[in-house]
This record gives sequence, structure tokens and C-alpha cells, in this order.
Amino acid sequence: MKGKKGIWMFVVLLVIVSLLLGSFSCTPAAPKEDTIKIGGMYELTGFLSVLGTQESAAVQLALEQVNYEVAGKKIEYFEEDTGSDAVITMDKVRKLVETNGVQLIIGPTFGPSAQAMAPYLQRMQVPNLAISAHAYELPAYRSVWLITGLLGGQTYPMGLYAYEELGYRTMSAISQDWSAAEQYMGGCLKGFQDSGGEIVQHQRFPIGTIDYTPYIANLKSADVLASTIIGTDIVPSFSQFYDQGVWKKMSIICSSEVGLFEPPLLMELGDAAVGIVSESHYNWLAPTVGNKEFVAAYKAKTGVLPGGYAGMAYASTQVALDAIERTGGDMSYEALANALDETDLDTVRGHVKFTEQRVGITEARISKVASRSGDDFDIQLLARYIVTPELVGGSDWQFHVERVE
Amino acid sequence: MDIFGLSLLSGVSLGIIYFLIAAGLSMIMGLMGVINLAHGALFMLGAYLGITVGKSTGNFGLAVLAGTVSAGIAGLIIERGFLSRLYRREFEQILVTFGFIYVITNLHLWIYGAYPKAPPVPALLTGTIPIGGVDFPVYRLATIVIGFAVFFGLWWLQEKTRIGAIIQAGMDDKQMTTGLGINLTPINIGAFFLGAALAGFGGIIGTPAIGGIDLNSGINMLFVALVVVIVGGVGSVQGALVGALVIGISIALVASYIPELSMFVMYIAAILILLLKPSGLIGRKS
Repeated sequence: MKGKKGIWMFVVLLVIVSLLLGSFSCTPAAPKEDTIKIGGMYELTGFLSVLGTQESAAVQLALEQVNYEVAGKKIEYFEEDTGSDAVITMDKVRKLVETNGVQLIIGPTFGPSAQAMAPYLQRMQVPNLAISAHAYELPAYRSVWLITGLLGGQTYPMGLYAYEELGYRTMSAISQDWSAAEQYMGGCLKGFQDSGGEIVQHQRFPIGTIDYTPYIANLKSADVLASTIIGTDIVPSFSQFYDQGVWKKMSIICSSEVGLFEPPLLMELGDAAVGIVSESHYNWLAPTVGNKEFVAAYKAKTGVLPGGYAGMAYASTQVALDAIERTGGDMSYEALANALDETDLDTVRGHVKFTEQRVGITEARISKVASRSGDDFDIQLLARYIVTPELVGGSDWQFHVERVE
Repeated sequence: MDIFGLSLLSGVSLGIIYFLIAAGLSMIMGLMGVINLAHGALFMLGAYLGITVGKSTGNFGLAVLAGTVSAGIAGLIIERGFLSRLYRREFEQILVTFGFIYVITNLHLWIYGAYPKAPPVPALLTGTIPIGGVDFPVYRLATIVIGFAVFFGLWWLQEKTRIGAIIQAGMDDKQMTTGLGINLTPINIGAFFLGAALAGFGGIIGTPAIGGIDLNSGINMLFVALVVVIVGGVGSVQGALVGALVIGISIALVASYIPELSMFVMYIAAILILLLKPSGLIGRKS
């Protein structure tokens, strides 16, 4: 009994001390005038950890390359792990803003985390550069600059290409059952339907599904299977598709912002990746400005080729540094916001410009894993599109697509 | 074979993987009263190390040995180094083993990186057999055979050997067993090693059937193993098999017909069992 009483007293004391310490940290640390504070939020753990770890490496690389200096001022960089969880994200973003005093945040990738943060950052007047595409509702918050655009917009060209160029007329779809996957797949299905194609089926499976046999068995006959699978589920799902002969019955296309073009994933998939057509906004072979140098530097730093999210994170940092340079180091919200709005920059993922709603006008590349020799993959570029999003009302968007290659 | 039959077969192969991880957990919980939350992480450890050895040596047998033994040794370290000092302190046991989940997972992140790993499949077991319009992998059928072989081995150990009799006596009445002069400590250590090794074995054997392993697999498999033990019953190899097959087949059938519910079905099964038969379908009554 004495021991239990002692433990409870200790717990109560711990809570009181934590509350007291927490209250002292509410006031943001005022940055020194010659210091710029940038925060990074990445999914370093959880089901999207494959994305966060490479994003972190890419942003650090970009900052190392400028010697942690921009516009004549030193950069202080703070990094936090969202845990692929919106609740954890809110704790971490408050720490970055209120304790560390960051003036700009890069990331996160997890959609629910970005949506949770947006109203807070708008209230605190801290600009947020998104790394990946996000949901249609996010542009309503003026604190977010969506460099990679909106989820459905990224994949709309894949649906168009499947109908117009690949000649498919019927499509079966399979995607993870969460918000981002739903909108990614939605864009591809819309592009296919707008072209005149027919969607015969759309199956959804929970994140972390172990056995895909029931979904494979339930596949309806179609010309093509469109898949939106993000994160760690890619390897088991595609391995099972391959093992169970899905490729014998229909072609497979990938519909998400990097598709299959994550080099470590390709190496794990091996033959299961060959022949698949996938849409991506960045891959290590893209002939964009500075990409060769970025790929070499990233490989020297990490030992692996950069995946899609590494490229997009690096591009986000390029945009951030360019904007800060143009403000002359003025990190007030108004100056940064104006500079970001006027971005007109060639990055490793292509040219970056924003619409009035701060949504990126982006490039989508349709490529194919043509062949494989050991760990070397031959990726063929099939088409390139420019996607311009247009807000038609509320959170409804239309995507204007122009094929440029 | 229609979708129902194919789902049944798929559920059995999935259930066997669940059995391999849950059997060890059930034995540890039944004999030692320890809830080893790091059990799922041991499954992951066996898989990752086994895949690494398999890919570097090209020998699947070595991969299985490496995965199994490494998980067993890791289990021994946890038991001898930590759990043995927390006898009858269940709350502390839970905290320590929960902490080991994070330690083992982050060690894997550090060593192997964040990307999932695809395992090698032995050449003899590659290929498919057409079943119900789907190419069903030969390896999955082999997993079913291996799983049942392991079950019969464990059943024989439990029911037909002196050690098995001691283990069962220890589960039923520890005080009486020790009162009769039987030293349960080496039995506990052996059982913990065996349980942990089974988890690692399940990891390296099961991963080729499901196509890959990632850093979330440890915690995902822990939830499955706990549900299987609840459904099947603690301390019984038969219970672990029945529970695993019930869960595996339920998930496969629900995924085929009502996919929106597939992530809930195993928890619904656990709740029903706890309400109707808390000792599990074939558990030892305490």
C-alpha cells in the first residue's frame, strides 16, 4: 500500500512539473535577427516512414549545399517526426512554432497531418511548404503552398494516357482505404472516364493488409488494373499480384505521385515491377534542371538513389531558399508569402509556379519499367503533361492538362 | 473452386502464419504468466535477419536457421536480463516488453533502413498452381504443410513427452509442481527460448508467403498474436492452431465479401470470445 501511494504521489508530481514546464515554453523563442529558423516535419516512423527518411535526408542535403546560409543569414534547422499520426503531428508542430520559433515549415507528407496543422499555422502565420500533393480542402488555408499540387490532379493524366495512348477501354481499380489514396485513385478514374473509359470495379483494402488473395480473386475482367498503393504496402501487394499471376490477365498501371519509382522499392520488387506503367512527379532519371547533380550528391550522402519524395523534398527546399533570398532575409509572414506567391523557379522536379490559391502548376511524367538487369532498371519516359488546377467552387477543382512531350 | 473455396484456402495459409507466431506467445503466457509484447518484434527480427542471410548466401535453410535462432537468443536476453527480475510484476513486464518493441524496431530502422524487404523464395517452391481462376503460389501450400508439421511437433512435445507433462503441470499449478521438487526455472527458460524462436521461425517462413516485411510488421503481428491467443486460449497448442485458423479464415472470407469490415473482424471475434468463453475456444481453465 505504501509503495502504491508513493507511486501515485510521484505521478501527480510529474504531471504538475510537466504542466509548469510546459507553461514556460508557450512564448516562442524570438529568433536572432541574423538567424533564420526553418522547421521540417517528416514521417520518420509509422507506415509512411519510407517517405519521411528520404525527405529528411534531401532537405538536409539542400541546406548543407548552401552551408546553412541564405540571404546573408545563418539557418537554424529543426526536425520533428510526425509518426505518420495527426495527433503526434500537432504536438510537434506546436513545439516547432512555440518553443523553437521556426518561421517556415517544410512537410509533412501524411495528408491528415497536413490538414491538422493547416488551421494552426494559419493562425500562427507560419508558411508551410508541402512536399507532396494534398487534399482538395487544404488550399482553403492560406498558410500552405502546395508545390506538388492536389492529389487527384497528379493522377488525372494517368487516366487520360491509359485511354488515349494505351488504348484501354475498361479499368478495374484497387487502392488503400484512406483519404489520400481515395483522391489519387479518384483523379486517375476521372481522367479515364472523362476520356470515355468504363470503370468496372474499385476495391479498397485497409492499410497494412497482409493477404491480398481475396482482392485478387475478386478482380473483375478489364483491360487494365489501376492501383494506388503508397508506403510499405507496395512490396507485399505487388509481390502477391505478381506471384498470383495478375499480370497475365490484365496490364497494371500505378497511380500516385511517385508510383513505383522508388529505387529501393524497385530493387525489392525485382521482376514484379517490370512492365508496369506508372505516373510520377519525380524520378532520378528526369532531365530537369540540376537533377543529375542532385542525384549524385544524394547518392554520395545516403548511398542510394533518390526516390520521388526525396526529389520533391529537395525541390521544396529549393523553393524555400529562393523565396527567402528574394525577401532579402525578411522572414515576416507578409514578405515570405509574397515571395512564395511569385515563385517562378526551375527545380529538380521541374518548373514551379503557383496559382492564386497557392497550388502548384505541376508536371506529371508517365514512365514504364521497361526491363531489369539485376538492380538496374530501364525506365522509359512515355509522356509528360503540365497540370494546371482551377478552383470551380468550394473545394471542387478542375484540372487542365496539356501534353508537352 | 469458387471465390469461397479460394478464400478458405488463403485463410488457412494465413492462419498457419498466425499460428506460428501465436503458439510461442501462448506457451509463454500459459507457463510463465508473462505477456511478452515484444513477441511481434521477434517475428520481425527473424524475418529481417533471415532475409539478409538468405539473400547473401542464397541458402534458404540457413536463412531459416538464422532467423529462428536469432529470435530465440533475443528472447532469452529479454527473459534473463529483464523479465526474470520482474516476477509477478505484470505491469512492469508489460512496460518493459513494450519498450523492447521500440528498441527492436528502431534498431531495424537503423540497420536496414525504412524500406520494406522482399524475401527470397526457395527455387523448389516457386511457381503457382491454378486454383479457382487464380494462380495460387506453391510456397503458400508449402507453408500450410510446414505449419501443420510444426503443430504436430509441438503437440507431441506437449502431450507425449515428460517435458511436456512438466510444462502442462507448471501451467496448471505452479506451486504444486515446484512443491514436488521440480525446478521450473530451466523449463521456463527453455519455453521462452522456444516461444521466441517460433516467432522468428514464423517470420522467415511466413514472409515469402505474404510478399514482404516492414517496420510496422512487429506491432501488426503482435495484435494478431494476442487476438489468436484470446480466441484460441492460453497455454494450448491446439488452442493456438484453432484460434489462428478461425482468425485467418474469418479475415479472408470477410475481405472477399465485405472488405470494409476486414480490419475489424479479428477484434469482433476476440470480443465475442471474451464475452462468451473467456478461457478461449480450447484454453486451459485457470
